[in-house]
Amino acid sequence: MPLLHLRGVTRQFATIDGPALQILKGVDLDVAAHDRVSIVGRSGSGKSTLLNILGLIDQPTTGIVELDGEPVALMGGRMRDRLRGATVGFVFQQFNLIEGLTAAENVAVPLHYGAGRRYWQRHRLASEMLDRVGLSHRIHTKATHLSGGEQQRVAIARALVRSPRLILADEPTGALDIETGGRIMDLLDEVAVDAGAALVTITHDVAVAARARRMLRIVDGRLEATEQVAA
Amino acid sequence: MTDVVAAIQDAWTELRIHRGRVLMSLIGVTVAIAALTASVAIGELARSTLLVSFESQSGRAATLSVNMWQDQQPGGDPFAGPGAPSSADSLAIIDAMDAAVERYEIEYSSVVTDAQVMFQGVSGTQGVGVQGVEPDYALMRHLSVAEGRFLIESDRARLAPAVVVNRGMLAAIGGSLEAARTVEIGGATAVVVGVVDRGMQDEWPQAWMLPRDLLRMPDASGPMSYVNPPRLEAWVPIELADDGKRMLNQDLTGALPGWSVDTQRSDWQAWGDDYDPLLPLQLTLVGTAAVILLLGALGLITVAVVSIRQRVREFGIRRAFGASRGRIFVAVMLESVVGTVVAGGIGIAICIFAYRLPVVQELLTQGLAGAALPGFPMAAAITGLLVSAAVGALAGSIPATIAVRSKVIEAIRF
Ligand SMILES: Nc1ncnc2c1ncn2[C@@H]1O[C@H](COP(=O)(O)OP(=O)(O)O)[C@@H](O)[C@H]1O
Ligand SMILES: [Mg+2]
Repeated sequence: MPLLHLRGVTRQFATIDGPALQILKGVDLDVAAHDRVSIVGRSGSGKSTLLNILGLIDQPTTGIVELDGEPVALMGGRMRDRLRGATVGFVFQQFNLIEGLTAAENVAVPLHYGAGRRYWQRHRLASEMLDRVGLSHRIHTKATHLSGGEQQRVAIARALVRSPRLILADEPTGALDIETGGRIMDLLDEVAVDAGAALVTITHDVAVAARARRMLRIVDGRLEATEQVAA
Repeated sequence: MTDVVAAIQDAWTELRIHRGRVLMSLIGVTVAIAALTASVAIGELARSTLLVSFESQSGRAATLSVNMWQDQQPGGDPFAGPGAPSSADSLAIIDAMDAAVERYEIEYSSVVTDAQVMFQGVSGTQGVGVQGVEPDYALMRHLSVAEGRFLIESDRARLAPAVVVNRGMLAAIGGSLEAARTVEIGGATAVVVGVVDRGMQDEWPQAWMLPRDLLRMPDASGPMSYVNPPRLEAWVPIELADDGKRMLNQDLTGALPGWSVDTQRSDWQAWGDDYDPLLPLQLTLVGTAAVILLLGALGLITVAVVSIRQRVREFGIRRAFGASRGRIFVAVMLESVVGTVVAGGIGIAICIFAYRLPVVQELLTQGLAGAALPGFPMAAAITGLLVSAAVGALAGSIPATIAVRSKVIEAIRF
């Protein structure tokens, strides 16, 4: 059974005047445990929209989304929130760290919404994760005082701190220079393998996409497989 | 359990981050809670001191007052009035009262008589109102002595009568107990055993003696001296008041032919179950504090609502990492509650600190010379704390509602 199973997923957005925007028009996708998938597409093609659906942040207009074989549409809001926290770790393009919190506090945020045992161990778990991404010297630094590359490392540590089975990265290198971006992708691949998590990376950077085992392309609201270009 | 701790921890972190902003908006709450606590405390204090003053004027609950008057003689002048009773009559009345007190085993009681007599002061002869009362009277009417002692049982056996004077009378006979061991009063020599000082009301001379000592005074039997026949005051348990009233009345009516007896509950608490002389004062104080608090809460809501709009992204991020709507709601509300409870706690601490200041103590004890204030009323502090938490919850529910309405995808889209 795949971790995630999407069939005929559509998503449209209502506009104030005029017809609804058809962004996704029938997406079929299976993500297996330990899978490596990259999704490319030009800007505005609906990549983030799809990622939000994969991460249980958004619901499709029509179509089926199943997590571990369970239809997500049948779950209550609280259940979805809990499942999202326990299963998915997000890495965003704009890092999305919480201003005012230190690196360690940011990494510990997901632990506030999980099991009690991990909550009480949050300081230790957070510094272990920061150590893992090479930031043990930045534990008590305010998120806003970190460089872009460092912020994305903190974000990766945060995504991994609850040992998710699925890591969703939305243009994780989009706000970084090529060299830093390359190192961030190395790190992301590495920690995902270590953690035994599936990794879905969204990007418009073909070099980034080429790292994945499977590369998909969003064209006109649908996914199509792409020939693997030799890296 | 963990959820609760984690939520409070989140709230605290948030307050710590926005220290400056939160501090500003909470100053109003601190001031309001300080005002509220102070007004409740003043109400409590006024209640306890006023209670004492009410009880010293009308007796404790339940005080039974037995009054008597002579029946109209047939053929007598109906307009002449009863006039003052003779000494013999008064003694007979006191005997009957003593017998009744003994028979019904009344624990606290006092015969009360009033007389106007002359005494020899340092600057000449002067008049003074003397109350004939018994030792229990001090307890029944909060009559505490500032110096020496009140009348005691063994005073009954003295040859020279004992007298307790107030500050005004002490000033007239020499100014101190050492200077005025005895006083010429009503044609007898009395030993001064104690001084009463209740502040303002003891400026004018007044004195207390045992009822029989008073009656035995050579110059106290003139028609101008006595105002009324002796009466009896008995302080009894409230549940025995009704029976006691009936029995005393029956007993004394039987014992004193030719006299009419009227027994009533005379303490102020008998005026009505829901009579509360302090209610208007307290309502005014609490009302004032409520207005300040309302203004403080409005300020708090305004600041919170503005800052919540800047934090929509943060809530989106937290939701992405597993926070439910309910959790966000509680977190935002708790920020407000933790803030107002801390602010209110500071306000209460300021009140308690101010209450300890000598200046304030002096201000509060005005007119109650020598009276020590009780400790800061707990009820006021607890009220202040509960109200702070309630205001925090109410004020916090508005930004909390706004916070849970924002959608995750909108919040983290850019
Ligand atoms: N919540 C929304 N409401 C209205 N339109 C939206 C919303 N989210 C996305 N869109 C629109 O859908 C399209 C795809 O957006 P997005 O998935 O973010 O693209 P990508 O990530 O591929 O650049 C864009 O035209 C965007 O304006
Ligand atoms: Mg996007």
